[in-house]
Amino acid sequence: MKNKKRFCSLNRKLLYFGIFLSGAMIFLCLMFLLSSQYLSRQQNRLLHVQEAFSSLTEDLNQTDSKLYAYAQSQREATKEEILRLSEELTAAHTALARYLNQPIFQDLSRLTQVYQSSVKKMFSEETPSTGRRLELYQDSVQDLDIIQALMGEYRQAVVTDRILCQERLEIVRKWTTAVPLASAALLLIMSLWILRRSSRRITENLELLTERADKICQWEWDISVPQKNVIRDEVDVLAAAFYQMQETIQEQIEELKAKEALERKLKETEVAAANLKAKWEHARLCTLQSRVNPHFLFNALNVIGGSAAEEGASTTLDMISETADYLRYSLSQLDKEVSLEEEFQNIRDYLSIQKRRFGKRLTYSIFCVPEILEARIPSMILQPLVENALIHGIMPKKEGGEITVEAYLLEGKAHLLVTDNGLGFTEERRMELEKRLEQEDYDDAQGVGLYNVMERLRAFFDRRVSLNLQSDPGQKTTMELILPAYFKKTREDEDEKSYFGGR
Amino acid sequence: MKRKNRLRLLLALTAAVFPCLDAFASSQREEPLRAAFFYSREIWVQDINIMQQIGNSIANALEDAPEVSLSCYGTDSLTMDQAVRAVISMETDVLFYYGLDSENAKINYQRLLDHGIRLILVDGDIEESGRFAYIGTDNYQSGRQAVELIQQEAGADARVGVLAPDIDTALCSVSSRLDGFLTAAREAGLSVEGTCETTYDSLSAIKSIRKFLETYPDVDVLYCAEAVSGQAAADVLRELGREDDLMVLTYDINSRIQEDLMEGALDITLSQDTEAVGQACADLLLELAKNRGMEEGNDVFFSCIPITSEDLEAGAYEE
Repeated sequence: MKNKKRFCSLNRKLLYFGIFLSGAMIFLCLMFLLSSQYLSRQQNRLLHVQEAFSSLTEDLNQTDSKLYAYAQSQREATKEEILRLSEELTAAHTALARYLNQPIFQDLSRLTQVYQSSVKKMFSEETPSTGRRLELYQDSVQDLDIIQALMGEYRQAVVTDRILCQERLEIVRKWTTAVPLASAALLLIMSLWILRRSSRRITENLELLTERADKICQWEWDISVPQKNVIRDEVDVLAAAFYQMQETIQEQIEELKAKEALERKLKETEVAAANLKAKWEHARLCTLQSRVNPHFLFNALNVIGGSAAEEGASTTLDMISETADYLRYSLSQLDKEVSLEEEFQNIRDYLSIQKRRFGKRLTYSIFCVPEILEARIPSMILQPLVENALIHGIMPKKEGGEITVEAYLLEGKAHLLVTDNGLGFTEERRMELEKRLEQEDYDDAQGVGLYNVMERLRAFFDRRVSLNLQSDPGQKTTMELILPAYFKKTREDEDEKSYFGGR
Repeated sequence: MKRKNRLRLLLALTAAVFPCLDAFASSQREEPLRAAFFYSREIWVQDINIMQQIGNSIANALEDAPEVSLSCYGTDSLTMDQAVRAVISMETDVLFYYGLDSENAKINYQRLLDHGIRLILVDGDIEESGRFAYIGTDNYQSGRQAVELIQQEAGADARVGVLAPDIDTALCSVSSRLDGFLTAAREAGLSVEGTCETTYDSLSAIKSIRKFLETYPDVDVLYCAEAVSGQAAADVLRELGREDDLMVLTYDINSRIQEDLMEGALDITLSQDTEAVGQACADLLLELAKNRGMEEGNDVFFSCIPITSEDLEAGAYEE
C-alpha cells in the first residue's frame, strides 16, 4: 500500500469529525457563556458606578448640611448621622476608584479623604465654641468647594465611562447574537461540506466499482485500471483490491485463451499429421495398384477368359471370372466404403479362388444376418483377416481346416467374426499382437495387414472399434471385430473421394 | 529520572517560580508619578484653548505610559488657590499650570514649593515662580518674530498699532509677547503709533479697535497680541472695507482665522505648536518618573509658526 501515512480509516474520520463538531459546539457555548458573564459583569459595574457616584454627591451634600447644623447646635444625633454619612462616603469613593481606573478618581478619593478629615476635626476638640465650630466648618467647606468645582469633571468622566461602556456592551450584545449565529451557520456549512466531500469520495469510488462490476457481468474485461497513488481509507483499499483482482482475472483469461489456442493448433497439427499419414498410406496403395497395372491385368484375364470359353474350359472360365471379380474389388474399392454385403461377396470370391487352390484342405462357410447386410464399412476389411486365418492357420496344417466368416448385430454394434480351426497362436503371441496393434507406428512386416485393418477402421469409426483375439491352438481361433453399425452412406461421391482424412 | 517525571518537575518549578517573580516585580514597581493639569474651559475665541490642546496632547502622549498618572481638569470655577489646595490634598507630584504674574500667584507657587510639588508652566513663563521647568511657546521671541515679519511685509517705516487686552494682564504669555514686540520694534526703529487696550469680549474689542482706527487712521500695520484682538481687527477692517490697506498680524489659528486669512482681512498668524509642547511635557514627566530626585527640569521653548494665506492654499496647515 503506497503512502500509508495518508491512510485514515472511515471510523477514524468519523471520530475526527465528531471531535471537530463537539469542539466547535463547546467553543460556541463557552463564547456565549463568557459573553453573557461579561455583559452581566459590565452591567453590574455600571450600576455600581452610578450608585456610588450618586451616593457620593448626595452624601457630600448631606454631610455638608448636617455639619452646618452640627456646627450650630452640636447635637449628638447629628454627629452620629455625620459619621454614618462619612462611612458611606468612604465606601462610595473607594468603589468609584475601584470601578473607574482613572487618575482623577484616585484624586477624588484623596480629596474626599481630606474632606472627611476636615469633618472629623469638628469632633476632635472636646468642647469647641460655636464660633470655633463654624470656623472648622468653613475649613471643611473649602475642601468641599474644591470637590464641587471638580465635580463636573468627575460627572463627565462617569458619563463618558457609561457611554463607552454602553457602546461596548452594545457591540458585545451584537456580537453575542451575531457571532454564535454566524459560527453556527459556518459550522453547519462546514459540516455539510465535509459530509458532502466525504460521501462524494466514497460514493464515487463505489459507483465506479459498481459500474466495473456491471461491465464484468456483461463480460467486458477490457477496462483500464485507474492509477491511484494514495490510499486514504477502506474504500480505496477495496477499490485497489477489486482492480487488482480484475487485473489478475484478466491475465488468467488471457492465459486460458492462449492455452486454448495452443491446444487447438496442436489438435489441428495432429489431424494434419493423421491426414498426412493416411495420404501416405493411400499413396502407397496407389503405388502398389499402379505396379499391378490393373487394366493390363484385367485385359489379360479377359483374353484368357475368352480363350477358355472358346476352348470350352468352363472351370477355367469360372476361376478367371472369380479372380477378375476379386481383383476388381480389391483394387477398385480399396479406398471406398462399401456395404457388408459387398464385402462378404468379395470374401466369398476370395475363398472360392482359394478353395480351388487348396481343394479339400479348405472348407469355409459364410454367414451374415440380413439386418446387417447394408451396414457400411471400409472395403477390404475382412479379406486380410481371412487371409491371415488361411495363411497362418490353415496352410501350415497338413490336413487343412475350416474357415467361418459371420456377421451379426448386437446392441447396435456390428460383430464380424473370422474363425478357423488352424494352428492358432499362443497366449503370449496373442498379447504381443494386441500390444503391437495398440502402437501408433507399426513397422513389423509380420501382421501389417491386421494393423492396417485396425488403423483404417479406427479412422473410419473415430476409434470406436475393438478387436478380440481368442485362440485355442489347433482347435479354434477367433478374430472378432466390433464396430458401430452404420447404415447410411457417409460419402456422397464414393468414386472420387477418400474417406481418409476424417469424418 | 524518567522523562515524564522530569516534565512534572519542570511544570511544578514553573508554577512555583512565576508567582514569586510576579510578586518580586510587584514589590519593585513604584507608584506612578502623579501629575495634574488644570485649565480653564472658558474659551475666548472659538476652538482656541491652548491649555486644553496642550493637556490633550500630553494625555495622548502618555496613553501607554503606566509610570505616569495624569489627571486633566478643565474647570470654569476653580481659582488658583483652590487648584493649589486641590493638588496639595491630592498629594500630586507635578502640576501643569499657566504662568501668572501676580502676588497671589506667587504665594500659591510658594505653597507648591513648600509641599514639594513640582510646577511646570506651559503657557507663559515666570521664572520667579520657582518652576521646575517651562515647556511652551517662546512668547518673548514670538513678539520679536512679529517685528521681523512686519518689516519683511510692510517695510521698516511701517506705522504700527498694537492691540492687546489689558496691557497689565497677569497672563505672562501675552505680556511676554508685547514685551518682545515692543523691545524688537524699538531696536528696529519701527514706529509704534499707538496701543489699543482690548478685552477678551470680542464686541468690546471691536468697539475699541474701531475707535483706535479713527484715532490713528494712518497706521499701516495692526499687531494683535492674541486671537480675540486679531479677529476683532479683521471684522472692523472688513466693515470699513480696508482689508487691503492694513497688514494685520495675530496669534493662533482656528477655522475663522483661516477664512480671514484667505479673504485678506488677516495677513499673518503666529500659530503655537501645542502638539510639540504636549510631547515635550510628556517626555519630561517620563524622565521625572524614572528619576524622582530631579531638582530641575530642562526648559523647552518653541517658536511660533507663521501662517499666511499662501501657506493655507499650499496646504501647509491642517487643523
